[in-house]
Amino acid sequence: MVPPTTDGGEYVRPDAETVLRVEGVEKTFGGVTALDGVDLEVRDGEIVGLVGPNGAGKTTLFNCIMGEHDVDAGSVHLGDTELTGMNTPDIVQAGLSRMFQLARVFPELTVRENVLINQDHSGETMLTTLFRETDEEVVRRAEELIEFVDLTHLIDEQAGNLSGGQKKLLNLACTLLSEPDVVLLDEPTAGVNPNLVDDITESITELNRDRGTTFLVIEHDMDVVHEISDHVYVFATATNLTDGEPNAALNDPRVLEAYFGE
Amino acid sequence: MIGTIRDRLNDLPTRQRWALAGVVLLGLLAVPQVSTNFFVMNVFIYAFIFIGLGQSWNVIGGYAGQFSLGHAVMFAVGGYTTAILFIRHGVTPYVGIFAGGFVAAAVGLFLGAATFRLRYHYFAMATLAAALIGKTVGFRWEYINGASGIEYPFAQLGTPWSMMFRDKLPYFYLIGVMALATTLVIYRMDRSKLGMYLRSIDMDQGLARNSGLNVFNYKMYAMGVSSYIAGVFGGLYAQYVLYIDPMSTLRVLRNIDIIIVPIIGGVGTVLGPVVGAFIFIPIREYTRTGLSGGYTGLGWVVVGVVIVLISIYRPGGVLNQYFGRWD
Repeated sequence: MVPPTTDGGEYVRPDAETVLRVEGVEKTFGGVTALDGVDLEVRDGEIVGLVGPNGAGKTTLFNCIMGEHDVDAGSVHLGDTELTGMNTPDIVQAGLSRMFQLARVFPELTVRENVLINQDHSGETMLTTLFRETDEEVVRRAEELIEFVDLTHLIDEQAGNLSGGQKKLLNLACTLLSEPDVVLLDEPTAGVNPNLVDDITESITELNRDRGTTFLVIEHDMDVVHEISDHVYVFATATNLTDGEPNAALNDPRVLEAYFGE
Repeated sequence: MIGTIRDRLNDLPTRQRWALAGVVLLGLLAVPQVSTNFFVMNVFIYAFIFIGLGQSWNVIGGYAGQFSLGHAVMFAVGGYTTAILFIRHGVTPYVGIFAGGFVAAAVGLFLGAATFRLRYHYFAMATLAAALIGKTVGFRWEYINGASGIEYPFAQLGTPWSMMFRDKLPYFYLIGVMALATTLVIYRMDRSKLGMYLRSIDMDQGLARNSGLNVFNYKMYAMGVSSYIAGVFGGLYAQYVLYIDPMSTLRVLRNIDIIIVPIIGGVGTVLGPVVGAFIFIPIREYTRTGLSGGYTGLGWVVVGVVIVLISIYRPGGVLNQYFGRWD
């Protein structure tokens, strides 16, 4: 975790390169405005939290970033690469990966295969995928990630047989194989028992601290947000409400009003 | 009892599995030594053809999960191409069947490009529409003699390079070898990254895309391979019956014939189409010949009952239930 710094009492974000930049993104579905000119910035090595009441547009923003939805206006950049208009596989190749809110696995593939699916697909053709095996180095890294999330004992088990929490951990391992620039996590601890919540949050902070992995995390559990985030964005009714250091952002009166009507 | 057989087979080391496969293969090769009866040979040759067609459909329908109802089009394209190249242009069918495969692959890729944005039953309906279009074209296109079809010149029977044999034995070996070669290709695919990717697309297309897979491209690869195999076996079929017409290749029921084989044997498994073909073809051939006269057509009732029973007691096909993805 990048320690937040202060400068004369003002919160200052770490002076690192911006890896993911969202500018003025708008998205409507029929008459419903899901995103109304949202801005967001994730810097290298940060864990950025994204919170907001249900329907604020958080998951829609993830869908727009990953190319699942076309944006109506605005842009998304990963480093110098504009992602707007690109399709999802190309965005993944560009350096983003995503974990879904509900754990999603390929149920009839093994744990190992689920992770290996996420290898680099650039340059692959029908013939290379038919005749060439996965590089040993990639297999080794996949096994290392499976060990990291403590699923080695289930490595040859079909992923459909895992518990909900184990599937979440598997999803986390899957997002990391391609060594992405930014990992998008959509409620990584939702629906998981308290013991596994600790495992997941520890894994995220450890990855950030030891490997410098950058995360953008949607989370409803404020304890988790406080624990892992360097910087927090708060959304309400399809737009930015505020952002800043977790304590300050989450105690902002506008945020309390949005959540609790205080 | 079958559960025990399954467990024993699954426990066999790879070398012993190959040995078992070799014994089965030798048994098949020995069939003509036991009987060269016309009917028996015919059943085996049709079973070999339908192993190929079942494998073909299994690639796109079983592994990639795209339920095509239009595979008879690629089967017919391969057959017509082989026949026309040979009869009108003098190209030996030993080359023609593979050329037919490529033309069928081109048609399949065109069909895929037009329909792969659709999913589930919408895709199935689009491919059914393609089958109906293919049937209409087949019956009306003068270049391929419309409903009359194309007959092979019997003067060439038995001549070198014509692939027109006087008896069934050479067909038995030729088409049997092609069915075996196709099954080995599918076996390779099943164990490759391509097989893993196609299965992932079948299970969750959205997740596959988020894993970086270009889902459209992989569906096109699957359609290309699948259509190529269907085209090759269309050519072999034309060479076997020495006649090709839209009624036997493009009727709507032909699409169902092709799908039934892997559905009975095991969708998305290597050996499913093999087992399916050896269940479906004997039933079809025995009922077709045995239930003639006033009982004509009742064969399909028997096939229907078999499918209903398998759906109830062995959902996913015989092999899926007993052997999983036994490979």
